[in-house]
Amino acid sequence: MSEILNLMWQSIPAFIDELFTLEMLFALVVGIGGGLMIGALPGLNPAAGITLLLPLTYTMGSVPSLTMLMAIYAAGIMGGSYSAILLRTPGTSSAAATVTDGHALALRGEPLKALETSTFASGIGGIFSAVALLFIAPFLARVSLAFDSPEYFLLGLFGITIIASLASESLLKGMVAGLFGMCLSAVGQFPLESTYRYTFGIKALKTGLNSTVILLGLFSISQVIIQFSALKRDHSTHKKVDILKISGKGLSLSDWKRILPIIVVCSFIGLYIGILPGAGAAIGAFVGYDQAKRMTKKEYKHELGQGALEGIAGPEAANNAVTGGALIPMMTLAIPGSPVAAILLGALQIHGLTPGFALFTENASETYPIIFGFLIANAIMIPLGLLFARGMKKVVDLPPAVLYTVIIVLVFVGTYSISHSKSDLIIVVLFGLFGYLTRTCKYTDSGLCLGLILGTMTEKGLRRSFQLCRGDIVGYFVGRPACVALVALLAVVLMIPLVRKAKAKK
Amino acid sequence: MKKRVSLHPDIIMSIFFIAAALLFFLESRDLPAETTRFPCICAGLMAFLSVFIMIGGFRKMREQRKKLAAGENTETGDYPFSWERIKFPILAFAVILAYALGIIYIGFFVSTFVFMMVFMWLLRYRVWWKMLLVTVAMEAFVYIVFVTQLNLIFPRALLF
Repeated sequence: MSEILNLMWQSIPAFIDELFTLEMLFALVVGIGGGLMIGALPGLNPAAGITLLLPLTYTMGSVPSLTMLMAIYAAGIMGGSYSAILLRTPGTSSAAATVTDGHALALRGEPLKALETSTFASGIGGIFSAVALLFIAPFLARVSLAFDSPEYFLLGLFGITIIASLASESLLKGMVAGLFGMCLSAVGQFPLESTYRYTFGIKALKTGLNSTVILLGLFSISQVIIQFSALKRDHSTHKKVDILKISGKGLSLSDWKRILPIIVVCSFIGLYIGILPGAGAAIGAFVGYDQAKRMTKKEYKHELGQGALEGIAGPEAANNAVTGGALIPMMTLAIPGSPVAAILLGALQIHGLTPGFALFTENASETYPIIFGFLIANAIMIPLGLLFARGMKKVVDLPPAVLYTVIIVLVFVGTYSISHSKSDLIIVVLFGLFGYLTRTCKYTDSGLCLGLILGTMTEKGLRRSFQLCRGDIVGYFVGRPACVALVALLAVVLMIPLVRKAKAKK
Repeated sequence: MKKRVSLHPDIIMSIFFIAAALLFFLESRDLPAETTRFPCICAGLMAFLSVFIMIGGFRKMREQRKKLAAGENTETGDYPFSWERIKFPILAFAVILAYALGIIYIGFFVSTFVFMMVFMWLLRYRVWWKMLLVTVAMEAFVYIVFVTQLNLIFPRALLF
């Protein structure tokens, strides 16, 4: 324990040095500013924002890169609440719980108070989750020391199963998407050998499919295709948006007394939900709202649903606390707590960092600064968020036609800058179409993305297990307590949808 | 005229995944066994689970048929592949694919100019001076940041 705390302590000077570099300042500003903008614009989400900026990080160091991507995640969740309050349209699904009270309070002539409540609750929730990530993750990572090849194989399966069972409407569809992702991860060179496989006679596939290219197609191009269709059908989308003017008083001391206990409790709730794989920020926000309702004092109960501060503080603290929580299982066991965390897992691997105990010991000089960066980003988000809210009108007035066109150009520039491959330009479009089809047919694209990211780890685990088992693969797995525990967990996760269905029938 | 129930999207997607699994199996034939073990397990499971989804799709189609026979309105959000719903996504895909081919065969900056103007126009944005301004600004941004600062060299093509 003291060794971990020492490593954490020793990384502080390195982080301070890094913090004042131009690259880190750029990462923080672009991450927070871009995240707030993406979050505030209905139709875009942090996943699309992160994939869009992922190619840019190839030329950056691991600390500013991951800080920027994590900042987009946190700021995207916060930005979603601004459009919920001022436009009555949640920018992201995680802000849906904030709409009722947030917009009602703004309509009552106190939009500034609503925005300040949302900003401070989000910021505090985010800071709390970053601190939790800093202190919980290294200790949880110790669990991974008991893991060897068979456990990593099972972890890979566990990863896609949880995303499949929780992020998709149908367990079967989620599993199929995840397995397809794993098949795609096999394209190219066989790990540690010179055999090329599944290239289907296409030269460009010899180097394998680049996960960032696929993510750009799945999340960014498919999103533009969806929005393109929506805009073509709905002529009214070009109308000027009616955005409320920011006026009224800010938070008073008595307001703070009302919301602070709720922010603290909902931050804990959000953190817990974030750690639960697959649950995500939207669920966290609704559970936070429910808790805020319970904690609202009698004299303010009548305000609930009509602009209660509690109804904004609860969901906003919870959904931002989910962000750090979702990163805990991702950084320790390679199990992402949310679809966005699945993309961040890919980003971590792109920068040569592998989840597990080594991340907090051998790579401590990079990992702790990344977490400190995430912490700082959450803190800076508060003043930047308040500034951004004042300029919201300009952002939401941005014509969607311009926005989506610019996104496509950026996707192509990003795709080509990764490996200067012409074929990647075609691959990204094909995966854009595939992402559109899977989304419309209710297959989960995050399942596919996770299968792709975890495929190599899972295959290596299985391959080594076969080498070590001396002919008795079942006995080898059963003889390892960690394997038995993981198989039991897998069974539980697979049972959840069946139990849910049975309950719904009753 | 008798109204027909269209093929359920679950069936179409299942056919795609089963075909993909078959392709993986066919490609595995000439490869060393060790290199194909994991992908074959995944492809096999994928095909196996897709069969269940396909059966579910047929079941949903049967229900739709029954509803249709009973004179009920069968319009649900379950059929995303009708021409009415797929024409705009196909248009978007075609334009984006043409842009990708344009970058490869014509050149990045010319293709980007054409793509941006066409895509914005298709999205019913008709403020010409703003369209031009955004396009030129975007090209300048890419040139300054990616070409001069990050030394990105775009594919050599017909024009540039």
